[in-house]
Amino acid sequence: MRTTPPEDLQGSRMDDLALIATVMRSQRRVATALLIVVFVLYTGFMALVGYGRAALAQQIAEGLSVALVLGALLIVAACVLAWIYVTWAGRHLDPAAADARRDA
Amino acid sequence: MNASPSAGASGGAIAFFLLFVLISLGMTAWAVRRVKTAEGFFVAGHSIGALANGMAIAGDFIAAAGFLGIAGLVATVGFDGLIYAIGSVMAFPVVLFALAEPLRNLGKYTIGDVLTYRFRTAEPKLLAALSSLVTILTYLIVQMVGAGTLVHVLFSIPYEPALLVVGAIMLAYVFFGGMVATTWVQIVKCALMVFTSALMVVLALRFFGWNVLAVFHQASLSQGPTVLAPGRGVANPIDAISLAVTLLFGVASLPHVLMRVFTARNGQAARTSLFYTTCIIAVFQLMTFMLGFAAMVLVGPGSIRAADRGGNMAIPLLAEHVGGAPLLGFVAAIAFATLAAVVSGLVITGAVTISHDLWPSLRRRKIGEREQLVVAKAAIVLLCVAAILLGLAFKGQNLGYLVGLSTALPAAANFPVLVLAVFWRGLTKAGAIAGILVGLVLTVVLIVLSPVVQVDVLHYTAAFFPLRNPGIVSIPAAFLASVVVSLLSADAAERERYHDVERRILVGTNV
Repeated sequence: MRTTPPEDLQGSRMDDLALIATVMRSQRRVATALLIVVFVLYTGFMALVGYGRAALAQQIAEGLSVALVLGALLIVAACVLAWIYVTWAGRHLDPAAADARRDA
Repeated sequence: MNASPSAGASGGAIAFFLLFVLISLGMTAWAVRRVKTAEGFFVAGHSIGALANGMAIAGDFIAAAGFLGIAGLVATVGFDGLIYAIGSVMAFPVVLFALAEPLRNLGKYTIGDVLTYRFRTAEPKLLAALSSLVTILTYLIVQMVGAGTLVHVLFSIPYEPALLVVGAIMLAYVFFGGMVATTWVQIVKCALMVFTSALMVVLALRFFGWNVLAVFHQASLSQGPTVLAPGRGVANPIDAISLAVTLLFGVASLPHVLMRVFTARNGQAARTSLFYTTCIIAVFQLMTFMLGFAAMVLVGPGSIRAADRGGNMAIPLLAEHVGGAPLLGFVAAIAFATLAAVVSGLVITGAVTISHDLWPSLRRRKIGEREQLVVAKAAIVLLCVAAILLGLAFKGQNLGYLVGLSTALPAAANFPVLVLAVFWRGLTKAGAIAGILVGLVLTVVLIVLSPVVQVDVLHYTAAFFPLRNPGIVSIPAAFLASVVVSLLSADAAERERYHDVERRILVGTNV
């Protein structure tokens, strides 16, 4: 992406934008991947609710049905996925934003 | 006093209720000085830290239906209640990944600002504001009718005066304290609600030998093992999936939830607050679910239905069972706090949308800060009066179609266009307008043609559209309309400008 020499003011802005474009491209990838995970988990669970009631009604232990276990795991998964994104963003977005602010 | 189960506690309930009102009005008085500017009044001066803002979002989202309704559903029918609980938790990571930080960095006060920044013209913003206002009004009607009914059951106050009390309290918070008071009322309410639920979990577990599994086991012994698995709540499998999609994207784009990304200090705080919101709501829903089954065992579905057909008394009656009259009074007061706080959040969101997004376009000129504040306050009075009148008008009606509309509408009319505005360089003004219009019109038409209206309200035997939840059709249709129209109206200069959008999503405006 470094098409213009850095000493040129216009070029340094282009360089800056190219770096930002790279970071934001990876942000879109991470966000999309995590969105797909959330979507598949929840709609998959609801498809089970619709089509696999017998399987969900099985009890692993007394009082512990598959439906309850999966439901609770899904809720925990929401927190884990949120944590993954926040951690990723703290490592990648925040330093990039700080760089971009400094260059501005 | 009559002999209903809650009669003995209404003295305690009213005492706790007065205490909450006193504290929250104190906070409102403290807020008055901080809301003299538009920035203070509309978004609490962009000053709320991540944890506090995360709590406020959770407070805004967990309405009485979340605090009492879901537990009541679990207590009376079992597992089906969890379907809604899970959906509401999963929606918040969606806000986190796709919307929170970008919207905060692109906009000033509203999601409308984001569309204006992206397209440098007002039309998409006006349409988004319209769909937000319709969502807010349907939500308000549902909340007010619920409030009238609940206050009646909890405090033995008749429906009509109950509405006036709720209306007067929300007017006081929002009119005088703006977003600052509304935010802190939400934060306090959220903390109280989580604390009370945790306390009730501990007190209830005492009855089950401190064994969580014993709660579920005893529920299945007393009501049959079917209560631990999906029942007849969602009969049609396609409808189950459509409900999932509608909840996921509808909750993720509720106007009063998205409004709160702008109260966060900056983009990073908006992002982190959604992480906290997700965890708070997750913990809360897990507790609610346990409390629902505990109420099923300790109180019994029969007694719960006898106290309130909708099951809303499951948590209050459980509180009475495990903690006596004082805990019942406390829970009733928190239920009231929840009602007042959620309607306040809706009213401030509606008022900001009217004064900041709609008014300048109606007047066709730039509006000064003073005028925006005056218009916002007029809108608040108008919305509060409307809320009370609509609450009276819809008393005792089947509101299933409004509940459906309040999530299905943002899911199709707001979510697709916001996601595309943030992530897709190819979105054009025409594409955005097409997406919002298709989402708006299709949602309303499909709900009118669905069993929710055709069978439940109009009492026909069949409906033209078989699904109760339109999301599986309306959301893809809105995305498709946006993309196709954008491709047909592609604009190279607009595409090039996306570099600036990207930069601002990352860096924000406070460079």
